[in-house]
Amino acid sequence: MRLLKLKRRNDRSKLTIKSYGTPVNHLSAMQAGGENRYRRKQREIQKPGLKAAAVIKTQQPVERGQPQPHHSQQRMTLREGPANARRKEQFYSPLKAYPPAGQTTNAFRNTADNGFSRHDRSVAPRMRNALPVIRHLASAAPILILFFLGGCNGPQSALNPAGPSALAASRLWWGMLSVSTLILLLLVALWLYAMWRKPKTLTVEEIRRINQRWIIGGALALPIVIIAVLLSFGIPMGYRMLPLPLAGQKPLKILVTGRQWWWEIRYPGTDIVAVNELHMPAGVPVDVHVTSDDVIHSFWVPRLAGKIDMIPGRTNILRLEADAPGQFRGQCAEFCGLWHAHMVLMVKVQTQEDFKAWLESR
Amino acid sequence: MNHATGKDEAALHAGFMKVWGNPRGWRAATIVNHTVVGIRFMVTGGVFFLMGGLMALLMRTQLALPEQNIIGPELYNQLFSMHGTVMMFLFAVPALEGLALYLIPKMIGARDLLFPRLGAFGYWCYLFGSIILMSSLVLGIAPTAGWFMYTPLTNAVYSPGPNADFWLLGITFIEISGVSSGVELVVSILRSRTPGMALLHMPLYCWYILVMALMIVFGFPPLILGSILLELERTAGMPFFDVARGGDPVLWQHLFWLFGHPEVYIIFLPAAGIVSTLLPVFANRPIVSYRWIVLAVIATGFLSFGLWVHHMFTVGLPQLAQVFFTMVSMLVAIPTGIQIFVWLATLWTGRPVYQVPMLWLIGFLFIFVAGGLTGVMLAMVPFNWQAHDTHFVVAHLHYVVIGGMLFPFVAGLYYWLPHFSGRMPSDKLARWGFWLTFIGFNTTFLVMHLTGLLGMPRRVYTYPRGLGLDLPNSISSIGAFIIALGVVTVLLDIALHFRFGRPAGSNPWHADSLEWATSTPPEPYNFISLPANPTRHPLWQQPDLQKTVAEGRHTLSEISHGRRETWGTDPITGKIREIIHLPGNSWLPFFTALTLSVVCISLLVRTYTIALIGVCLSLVLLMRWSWINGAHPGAAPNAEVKPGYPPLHSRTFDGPGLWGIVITLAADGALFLSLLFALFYLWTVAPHWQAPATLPLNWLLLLASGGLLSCAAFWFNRVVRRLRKGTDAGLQIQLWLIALLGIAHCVLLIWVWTDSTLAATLNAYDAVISFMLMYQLFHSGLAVIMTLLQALRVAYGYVGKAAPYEVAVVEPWWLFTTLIFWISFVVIMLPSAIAGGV
Repeated sequence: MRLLKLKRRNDRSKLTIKSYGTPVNHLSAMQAGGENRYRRKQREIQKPGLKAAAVIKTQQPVERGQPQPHHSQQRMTLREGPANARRKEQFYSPLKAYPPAGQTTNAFRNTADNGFSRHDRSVAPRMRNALPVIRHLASAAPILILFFLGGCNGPQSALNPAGPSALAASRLWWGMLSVSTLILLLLVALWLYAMWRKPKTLTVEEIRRINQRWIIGGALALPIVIIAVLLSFGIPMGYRMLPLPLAGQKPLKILVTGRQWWWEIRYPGTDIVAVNELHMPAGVPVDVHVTSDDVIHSFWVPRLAGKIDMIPGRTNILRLEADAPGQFRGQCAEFCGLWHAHMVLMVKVQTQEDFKAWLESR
Repeated sequence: MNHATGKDEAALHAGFMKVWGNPRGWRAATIVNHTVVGIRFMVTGGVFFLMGGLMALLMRTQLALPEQNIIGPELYNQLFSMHGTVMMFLFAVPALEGLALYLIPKMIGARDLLFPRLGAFGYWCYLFGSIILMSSLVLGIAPTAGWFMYTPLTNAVYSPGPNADFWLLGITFIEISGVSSGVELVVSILRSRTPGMALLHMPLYCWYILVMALMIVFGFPPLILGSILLELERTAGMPFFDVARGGDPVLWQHLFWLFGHPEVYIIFLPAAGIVSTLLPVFANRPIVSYRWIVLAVIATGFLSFGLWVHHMFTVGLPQLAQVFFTMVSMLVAIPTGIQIFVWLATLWTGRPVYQVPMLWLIGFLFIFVAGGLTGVMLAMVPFNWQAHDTHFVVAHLHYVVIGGMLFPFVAGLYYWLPHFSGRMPSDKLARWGFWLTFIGFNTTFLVMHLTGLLGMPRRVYTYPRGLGLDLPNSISSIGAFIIALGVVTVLLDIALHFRFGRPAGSNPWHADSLEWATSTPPEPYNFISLPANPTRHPLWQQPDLQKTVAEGRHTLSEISHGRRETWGTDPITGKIREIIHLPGNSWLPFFTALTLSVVCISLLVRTYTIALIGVCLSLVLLMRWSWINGAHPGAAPNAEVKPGYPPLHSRTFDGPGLWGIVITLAADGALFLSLLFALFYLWTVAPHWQAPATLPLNWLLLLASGGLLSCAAFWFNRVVRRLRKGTDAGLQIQLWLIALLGIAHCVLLIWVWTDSTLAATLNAYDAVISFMLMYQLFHSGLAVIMTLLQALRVAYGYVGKAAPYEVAVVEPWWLFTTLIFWISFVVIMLPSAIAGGV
């Protein structure tokens, strides 16, 4: 039996969760533990959700007096919109503790469990016993090449762009990588050649000339040219990524608030409140207004765009755009405390019609 | 100058050892000699390096496979926080400072650093501070919020335990040791070079260290300030970083990176200095462009203070700021490029020999250049938004820091091993050590770039299957253990060479710089006689220098006076100005550091009475410290020097102490500037900032207090001027009266403060102004104490017309105190002046 210990940290009722040996789905722990403030909070979040069934709740609070079920056997209750109205019960393994997102919908869970990774499939049935690393490497050897060629296609990979911002950044990366590799190899080759070539006897004048050539050519001209080229690409590129006003249309606004260790998503003009799952339409720019309710977090969905910090007391705006419908994994990128590693966000991109229907059905 | 030929070498040595010798046993804690202190710094740093490495291995074990739970998040967070902290503050800076403390006097032909007790004090502070910090890990309450300690995660709400206090107090303690070593190095390099060694004759390493030390002096204070403010917020509830009460958490990030980026260059520059020292020796020719290197080093020092914001591109800063900092970040590639191409040209035009240190230098070049290139990539904002706070940055920073610091450091270690021990290391083991480390390093960190771009954030204790992160992480973990193997091999080599290494003889690498003119291993006094040195390559021009030095054929080889002496020379030309006499071994540094660590611990456990007692005790010790100076019987009661020699420094107005206080005040000024920066930053940026429209305190009384202070400072200045003219009539009574004025000023200031409506815990404006008043009181109080001490010393006859030096040292403190008072005054008056309501 795993032990859960909930402790009131101070009058602000922040929670410390001590788990002995196993990662705990803190959200469910909070609710299951019956901590008052969080119950209240949960109710607040649920409230609009009761009207709008889009609220995806991770877990139902356990009634007082009811025996606390084993964590891994806790039941997830999912409410889904009428579009695919069905109730699902699923088992949730504590080891798969990126809780809220992984459990949101059935389709989601499937992809998270097996569909996503290409090389993971080729590494095949993994054994979790003796010498896993060696086993791992042995099975990995043949796919090493594949890995470097096709390894960029993870569901959270910045090199697998699915939107214009991420695409621009990844192109920038490949460009910079090739130039940098060239410079590095050239420099090391020159250095090694300088060390092992047959020394010549040079006059002072020759030495002076060689030196000047290196300094002016290598240390001044080369970096200045590269910096100029980079900036001429980079500044407009960064500018285009900004949430600039658009001609003729107003981008959809979504509010995201970071909390230890979950995301609250709201759609202004509606009373939809979602947890850890962000719905947005494909093909149109969306402005995500982010802030934080406690510590600093960072909003990052690598396949769509770069990250932006969520800082208490201020609101930052990130322009997102997805080329096509799909599901994209995001994760908090600024260290935010104990369960930082499990602060996962799922972005569900729908066609504009589906999104509209989803929005209106709430 | 003096060529006393034919002195008996052995007799000279015995005479010098009587004055300079190091005690053994428990009295070894009194040693202040720079050779011993430098080695202690390096060895202690090495031990912490191994501990930090062990933490890294634990983390890599946890991350080797997805969804592992060998180490839970609680411990993992402690490990990564401590790993970064230990490697930066407990290993990199102290180890490099230690090497500099060891080498600098030998390279510039001096017998010791100019503030030997300060050096020893710095070491003890570092040791005790590190032990306090590491004990938190043993107790299981180590800092968990990363080495960057971002608020609000580190404030009292989200980090209620003592974990964050360990970091804030421990690191501040260690940083004070860093600053004191920095001051010591700057003054020593500028003021104690051997006769004739002009600034442009210094070995390049000294230039690098000079710039590094100055960067420490200006770069550490922002973090010291930030740590004090955060600690005050945590314990006293003063809301500097709390949005709701008018603070801003991003202020912490600015203060942290204002220190944090120069810090990277603080550890890179001395390492690059090692490269610039070794390379010409192994290329068998002088460096091809000394002046270009000097320019590049100075430029790096300046630029490094202008690019801290590139750590904060995702904070949501204005576009213009981002473009500016992108450009500055990229510009720093130019001075780095200059150094790399000068090194290349030196190899190209020289006759390189291939030795073990060269191997590490090649490793350095490859790794560091790769790290620099990814650094340029990270300066590109669109890419930065993707790569920031991912394992890409982890890979980048390890390329820069391990490539830019560890590899040159190990190269230097191999190069100077014969100097430390008089023996040569084993070639075979050394090569194994290098290749294991090099291959292990690239296995670990090359693939880690990809791990980051595949979507793995930093500081996560685990990651799920199915994101494509499994294989790259396993590769990195294997690499980490290969590095460990390499490190063990190098350590084995070093350990074995003490026993089995063949004797090195003098100058085994045929080097050019003065440190090889000492015996190997060196004696505590370094040189029996100090050679005049008007060239850049003394040992190439005078290969028999070691012999003539030991025979006492050069200057200052008298020892019958029983003083530790070295030359005080002109900072630019290196012409002799005076003889600097140095203090001998002393318990004071040890006990002062010990009482300060008691203060640190009692602040940690929040027993403030004990802390107060500790502060008073250390103040007494410090006063005792400054008591044994100048004409005191324990220092230089007899000012007689050999005919033809200049006077002792304590009999002039131009000793190293004056330089020391000015550099210290520069650090202090940097801290004050950071405070002003904090104030104006909050004023313009913090969302809930509130400056009152009416003054929170009685400005007339404040004005009166400032008037008293100005009078005192002016009077002190007049006293020093009269002393310079050779009049010391009424010196004692004047000093007493000045102190009295100072006390009146302090009393008024306290009155103003207690009388004010400042509510330091309610809003950030009041908190900042309260802190300013505290800062002012601290300085005014110290000015009074120092003046009282001087008056007492005049009464004892240690200070006066004949020994005027110390009064001149106190003067800048008075001026600085007055200056910050009036700046604070204007700042306090500003909001109500703007509101028109004085």
